[in-house]
Formats: sequence, C-alpha cells, structure tokens
Amino acid sequence: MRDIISSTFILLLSILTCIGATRLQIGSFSAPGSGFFPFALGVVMGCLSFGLLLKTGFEREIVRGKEPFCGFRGIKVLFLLFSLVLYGFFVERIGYTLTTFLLFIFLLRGINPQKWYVVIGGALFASLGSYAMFQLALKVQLPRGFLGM
Amino acid sequence: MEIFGQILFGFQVALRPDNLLCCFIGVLLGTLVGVLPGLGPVATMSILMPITLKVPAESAIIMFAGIYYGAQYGGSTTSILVNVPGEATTVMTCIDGYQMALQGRAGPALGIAAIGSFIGGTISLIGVMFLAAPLAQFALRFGPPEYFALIFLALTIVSGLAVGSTIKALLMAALGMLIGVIGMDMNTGIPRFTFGIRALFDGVGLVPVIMGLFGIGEILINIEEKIELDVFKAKIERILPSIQDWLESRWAILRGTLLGFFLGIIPGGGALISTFASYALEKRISRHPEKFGHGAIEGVAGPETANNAGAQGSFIPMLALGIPSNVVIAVLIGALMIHGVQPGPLLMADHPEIFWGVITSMYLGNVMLLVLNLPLIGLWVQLLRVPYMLLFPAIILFCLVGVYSISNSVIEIFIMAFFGMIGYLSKKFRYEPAPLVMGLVLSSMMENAFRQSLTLSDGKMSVFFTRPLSAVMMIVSLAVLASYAIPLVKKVKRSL
Repeated sequence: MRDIISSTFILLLSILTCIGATRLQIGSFSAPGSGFFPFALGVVMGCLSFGLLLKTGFEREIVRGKEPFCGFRGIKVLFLLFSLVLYGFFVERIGYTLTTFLLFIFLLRGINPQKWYVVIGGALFASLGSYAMFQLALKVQLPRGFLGM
Repeated sequence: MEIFGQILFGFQVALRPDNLLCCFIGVLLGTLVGVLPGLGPVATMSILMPITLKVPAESAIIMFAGIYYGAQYGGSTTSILVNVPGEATTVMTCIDGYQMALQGRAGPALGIAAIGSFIGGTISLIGVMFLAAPLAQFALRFGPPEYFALIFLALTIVSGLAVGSTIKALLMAALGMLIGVIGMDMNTGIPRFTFGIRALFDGVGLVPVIMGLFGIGEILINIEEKIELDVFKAKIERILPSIQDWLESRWAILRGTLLGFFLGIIPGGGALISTFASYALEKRISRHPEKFGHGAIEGVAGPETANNAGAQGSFIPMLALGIPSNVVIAVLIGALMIHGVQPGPLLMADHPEIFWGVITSMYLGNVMLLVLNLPLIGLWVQLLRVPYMLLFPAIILFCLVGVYSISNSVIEIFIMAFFGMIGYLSKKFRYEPAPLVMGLVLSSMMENAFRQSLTLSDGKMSVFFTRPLSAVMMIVSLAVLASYAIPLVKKVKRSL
C-alpha cells in the first residue's frame, strides 16, 4: 500500500511536470529550450513511478511490513511543523528573541513536557544566549521586530 | 618534484592560525555529532554554512571536511558504548564493539577504533595527494558530453548503492533534479516552476533543503519514536590496545585502508560502503569467523579504518572532477559554490589554496582527532547522557537561525519546514533522501552539459556514444541500469 500511494503521487507529479514543461519552451534537439530538460525529467519520473507501481502490483508475496502511519503519534509531528511555520510568520513582526522564547516554551512544554523551571530557564537561555552569540558575537543579522531585538 | 612544492604550499595554508582553528572546530564538531545519534555531518554542515560565509572558502571547506571525517571517529564511540550507531558508517562497529564493551574491553575497542581511523585516514590521504592532481589534469580534456556521462554515471551508481529500493532512489535523484530546475533558466532567463513567487526566481537553496531533509526530518522521526539511550555504565580503564590486540588487528587495519580508499573514490562509495565491505571481508578470510559477533577486535579495527579511509578517498572525485561521490561531498560542493568557487578540474589551477590547503589540513585534523578521541573519551561518554528531548530544540534553533541568515528571508524557513515534512515522509515511505540532494546539486551541471552537448552536435543524441570517454561511461551507466531493471522485468514476466 505504501508504495502504491507514493508511486501514484509521483506519477501524477511527473504528468504535471510534463504539462508545465510544455508551457515553457521545449525547443528541439538541436536547440533545446527552457522546458526541454524538465520535460525529460518528467518522462523519466513517470517511467520510474510506473515501474514502481508495476513492481508493487506484481509482487506475489504480500509483504507484511509496518504501514507508514501504523501507530502514528503524528500529533507531535504536526505541532512541530506548524510551530515552525508560525515562527516564520511572526519572527519578523515580533522580533527574534521573543519569538524564539515562545517557540522554546512550546518545544519544551508541548512536545515532551519538562518541568516549568526547565522550560522557562531553557527558553530564556536559548533566546537570549543565541541572540548574544549570533547577533552580537557573530554579527548575524536577526529579525528585530517591534522590540528591536 | 613539483608536487612536493604544492604540498608545502598546502601546509602553509593549513597551518595559518585561522585555518588551524577552523580545522580544530571542524573535527571537534565532527566528533560531537558523530557521538550524538540523530544529528549527522550533513545537517551540521548545513547549519553552519551561512556562518562560514564570513570566512574564506578554504577555511570553510577545511572546517566542513573536518566535520565529515571527525564524525567517522565520533560515531564509533556511540556504537561501542551504546550499541546505537552515531553515524550510518559505524553500524558494523556495533556488532563486535558493543560485545567487547560487555566483556569489559570497551577501552581497547575505542582505542583500536581511534588508532585504526588515524592510520586509515592518514594513508588514504597520501593516495588523495598523488591521485587527485593527475586526475584533475586528465579531466581538463572533458567536454560537455563527458561531463554529462560522468554525472549520469555518478547518479546511477549512487542510486543503486542507496539503502532500500533502487527505483525509489532513482526517483529521488530525479526529484532532486526537478527541484534543481526551479528558478530562472540561466540560458533564456525564463522563470521555471516558480508559480509567481519572486523568492524562487533564484532557485531553491541547497541549505534549507538539506536542513529540512536531514535536520528537521530526523527530529520529526525521533520525537515520534522517542530515543532513549542505555549508556554503558562501567568505568573505561585501559584505552591503548595490548600487543595481542595489535597482532590480531594489524592486517584488518591495512586491508580496511586499501578497501576504504578505493571504494571511496567510486561514486556512491565513501565511508558507508567501505565499512560493510571491510566487515564482510574480515569475517570471510578470518581463521575464526565464529568469533565475529562475539567481540572480535578485527570486526572493529577493519570497518573503523575503512570508514575513515573511505571518507578521505571520496575527496578525490570532488577535488579533481567537481563530482560528489556521496551526499556529504555534495554538500561540500554546495559550500564551494556558495563561496563563488566553481568545483571541477580547474579548481587546482584557479584555487590551489583550497585544493592543497584542504588536503594537507586533513593530516593535521587526523592528529587532532587522535588527541581528542583517546584522552577525552570520558567527556564524550558524558555527552551521550544528555537527553534528546533537551537536545532537539537546540538543533531546531540552529536550523532556524542558519536558514534565515542565508538571505534574511523567512521564505527559507518555510522551505526548510516543507522539506522537513518531505524528509519525514520519505522515511515513512522508505525513500532514501540522499539521492535527492545529489540530484539537486548536480541538476544545473547536468542540464548545462546536456544542452551544450546537443547544441554542439546539432541535436544528435549519438554525441554521447561517439566520443570514447563518454561512450564508455554511458555504456557502463546503461549496463548498471539494466542490472537494476532485469529482476523487475523477470518478476513481471513470471506474474503474467
């Protein structure tokens, strides 16, 4: 099942790639255009994903492996990804230190709950310590936000 | 005699205080990430890449190279003491290394691993010095068809040697190449697959992709699976191996060096394949194969020597041809490109400070690693006791700051999060992410070589088969591909 899902997805992606490539200029063999190489890649991906689909379909023995999301504890995974996206949205508006502080509160408390003093101490240390290291010592330009840091 | 002058020049570069410091930081970080499971050299290099933009290219590459071979040293510590490989390249060390630790011989196991790594790495470097330069000279004859054929060959072999399904690895390589075409076409200026997003006009950066796939992706898997390490508790007393240990492991070290070096040169080779090959060889030729799996010191000495020899041998295709033989070297090539240095056969002539500086720095790095690994073993053991749940937020922070500082744009954070999800899904669906990175790095090189070849030959695909060198490489690639396809065709035939 695992391979049927993934190969079907890539097959669709390869078709979309070929369609997208034809909208660019494909050109000819003697003068290949912008879409030539992506079109060729789309064809290669299509053939390979079709091959994988065939292989999975023709496999006589049923492989009783673990399915990809068997025993899925994905809520943490989704939360973590979501927190990264939120961080991206707010870091330039609020500023590096405060956003990082809030992110660490979430990571240390939300993903795998630690004691509150560890959470607050860790978040403070991470946000201020990393600001000092990157912005002040290494002169990496971090987003300032309304707090100016 | 010319080569000795160049080696001397290399030492002048490597012994500069800033480069010595970079080398030390590299090997220290390499040992650290090697010891800690869940954070590998690829993710570490990506995290540090934006910071290294402030230092000269040779210093950055010296540091990155140190991380790569340093991780081979460090990975053995976790394998021996915890029975969890710190790196994929130290998987084989777990088998006999951990058994030795259980028998109270953790010290000699760690000692022989460090000393074998030192010997393998140092001898392998001599090969790198004497082979890379003539190969680079030879590669100057390469035209676009030869380059296309070489890249095609590299991707084909790398996909075949990837863990798991070959079709999936080839798919990932093609997907990586597709990601590589996103952005403005260099020849026509037409934006491709950018969906109107201006930030994508310059293409998808290598750093957020790697950090996402290997950094965030790995964390997502780990927080789901919950890592708990059972660290070996007994005190480690004698580190230096006894005379008997030496006698038993000397030939394994020598064989590991040769095997690692030659497998390192081959695309797809490097440290990983070398360790498996070395362990299999040692077990096959041993007079006491029954000892393997129960604490045979040759089972530690061979693979540990081979992985370092392989890691250093894999620098040859990078330095001489600009072609990565594995994903770590692909990141190193990416780092060179970010510094505005074009990897390839002209590297030696145009940037001798990088070519010779990096090679000679590895001698110094090997000595530093020996010093770091033998007396400081207790410190590394303590590090293993840091809970992963406190470690992963720090890794995320480094990833976030690292990607943001590349172009001061939050788009890079979103790209990293997206590829983090891809990395997680690729693990779930058993796709190897390394070929994707190889494809991404090689995409523009391959497209340029392909288009130039067709333009030069007036559209004749036969150009790849009429020039002797490219013909040989294309035929080998097609033969390798056929060897992957034959079992599938047989399976389909049987089912019909």
